[in-house]
Amino acid sequence: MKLARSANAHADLQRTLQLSPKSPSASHASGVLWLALEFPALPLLAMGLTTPSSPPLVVSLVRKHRPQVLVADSKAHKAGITCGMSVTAAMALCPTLQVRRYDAVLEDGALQGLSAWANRYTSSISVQPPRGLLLEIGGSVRLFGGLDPLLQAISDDLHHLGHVAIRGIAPTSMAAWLLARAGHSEPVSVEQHLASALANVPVHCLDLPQRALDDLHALGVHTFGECARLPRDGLTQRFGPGLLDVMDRALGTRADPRQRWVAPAHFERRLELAFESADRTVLMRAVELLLAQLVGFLNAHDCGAAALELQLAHEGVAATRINLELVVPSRDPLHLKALLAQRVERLSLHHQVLHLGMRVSRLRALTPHTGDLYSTQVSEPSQLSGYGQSCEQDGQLLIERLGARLGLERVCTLSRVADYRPERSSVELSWHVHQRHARDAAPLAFDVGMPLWLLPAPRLLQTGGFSGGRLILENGPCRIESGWWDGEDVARDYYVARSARGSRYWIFRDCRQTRQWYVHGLFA
Amino acid sequence: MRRPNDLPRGALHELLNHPALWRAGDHSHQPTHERTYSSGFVELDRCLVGGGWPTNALVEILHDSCGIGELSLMLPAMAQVIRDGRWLLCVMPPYRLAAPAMSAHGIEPERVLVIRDCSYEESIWACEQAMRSGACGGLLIWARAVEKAPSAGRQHGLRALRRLQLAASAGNTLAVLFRDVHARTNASAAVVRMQLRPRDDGLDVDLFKSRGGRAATVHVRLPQVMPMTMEHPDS
Repeated sequence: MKLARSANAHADLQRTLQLSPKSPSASHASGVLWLALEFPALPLLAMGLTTPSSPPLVVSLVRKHRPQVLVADSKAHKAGITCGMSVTAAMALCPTLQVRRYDAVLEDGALQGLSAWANRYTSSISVQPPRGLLLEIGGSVRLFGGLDPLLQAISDDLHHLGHVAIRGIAPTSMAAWLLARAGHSEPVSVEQHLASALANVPVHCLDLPQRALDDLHALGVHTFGECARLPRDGLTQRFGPGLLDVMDRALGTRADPRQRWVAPAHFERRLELAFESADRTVLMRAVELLLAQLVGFLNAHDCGAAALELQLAHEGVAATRINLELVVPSRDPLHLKALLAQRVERLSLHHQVLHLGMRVSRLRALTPHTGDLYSTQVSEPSQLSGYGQSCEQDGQLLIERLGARLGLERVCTLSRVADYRPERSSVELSWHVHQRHARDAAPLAFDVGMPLWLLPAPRLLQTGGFSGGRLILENGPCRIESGWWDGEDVARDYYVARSARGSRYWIFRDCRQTRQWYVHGLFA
Repeated sequence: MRRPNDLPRGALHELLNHPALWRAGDHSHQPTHERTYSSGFVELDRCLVGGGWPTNALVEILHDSCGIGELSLMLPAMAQVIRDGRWLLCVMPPYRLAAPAMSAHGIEPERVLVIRDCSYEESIWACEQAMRSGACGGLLIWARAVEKAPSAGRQHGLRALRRLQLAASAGNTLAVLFRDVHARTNASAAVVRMQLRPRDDGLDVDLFKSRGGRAATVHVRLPQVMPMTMEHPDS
């Protein structure tokens, strides 16, 4: 289990340090602990993003030759529609109801997205079909400062993403899953308590075939506890080895290896919009959901995104694409969201968006920000003392934010060039060009005498409109003669001249061809 | 009847120390500005509230022609900003900044960001972003950035200044706006306003608005323009 998982390693460190040794959850910090999450509304969420203004939506599934409501959203619930109701009855209750057919492929995609997201909290994740995830959180408890803060963080995050999850926590994955299905959300952290905690789990949670369930009910066996009291050989004879296997795995008496979810090598995710939309707030919400998955993916690879592509798919016309180039690779969802928001806001959308796609075009390893172990105060950007590394990072973020709106090529930085010709000694390079060829220019002799302002090109003194009357030469001349090697050699005598209005100009007389006077800069 | 003298000493002391109460002539304890950057000129620091340029207010500098030393006045403070490891953002400067001259003033050219050719909205937005970010310690804005179009009138400039002042008050950036002297009669939201007049050896700074301070005129001696020498630095 990698420790420095979360985006803000510094805060994690703080949290870890604040963990009091007497906290009750610290006792099982090293032990294996599984969190099972079941998402009963997953078929509905897989249909895509809904908005407060969208009509009620249900997902239907054909059972016994009749389409039935599988999952209904909150608006449909309010209209009196319940799960298991026939679709015709539901339509009668609510005429504006939208019905979508259950789509296993979409649901699987949504579950994959959730697995990516879960990488924020643990690196050991396995998918429990059809609608469940198993996370091994024992190793993360310490990092998040205890079991309760960790569970709180997970449930807050899920709530923010719009998911409803039922959880179960137990030392074995099967027990956690059974507890989740039975709705026992109270954590069971010690293996000795497993049997008593599982005793009340109804047998229908065990995923048995209907016939076996009927037989168990006929025997008067309704719970896991009652089942466990039956003789083992008899159980195997009646119901096959499957039932005993599940029970042994749950109780931890048999090993329960799980296939670990492996993050794909490329990030390319798609998010449906349940109802097509061109509303910026809806689009940004979708971007936010995609970013949550992206951050999990980046965590799994311990990388940052250096270039992102966001696609807004329309019907009939080519998708709108946004390419986001980052100066520094990042996996901070807030920062990425702010950058994308800038771009989405300025987009002129002529068509409704059907779905969104996000792709990482370039991955880069992150250089982690190391906090000072002995620093007495947390360096915050708002604090005036102790600018250091955080300031360096903030600067990069600022450049990125400016670049997101103005275009990175318009955010320039000054750069020196080792050339004695003044017009060549200083260039304004756009930031990404500057980054690519960081120039190394030794200070030249004449730094001291140069003015702060340079004209883009020398202007003839008479026509330049600068003189404003008589000029008085204050000092000079100083000869600059250079550049014979590239055919643009200059030979100039520079003077400092003061005008009647008090401005100081840097003027020169061309010694080569015309012997005319030029203005080249101002001593601001 | 109780005379003011009868008030318990503690109560009076408490009253006088209230941050909202300002006493003329007391420059030592000024609660209005969180931190100031020394201007590098003793005479000027003495007149500025808090002993230097404010970092949570907009400073407006009026001058009628370029090249009188208006930038040199700001550079010692900007060099301090760079020494703090922070950045300097220039929004729509009228000419090209000379990197060698900047480094001669102690300003690392790589730490200077320049934004040009922006629309009115873009430049104000960029200024706000810079002031909100902790990284940008110095912000130099030229008038073209806040004047949309001649037809937009004075009202527009005022609105821009209000936005800048609002952003400045929340941040900790030394924000300076350079404008033409014509703007002196216009209303302005800037907290510190001054007009520069060129003198032989420097500038006369006419500080005509200073929140929590007094109007004053000070003479500032700028370093003389040095004649260029062609000696190699190694020799």
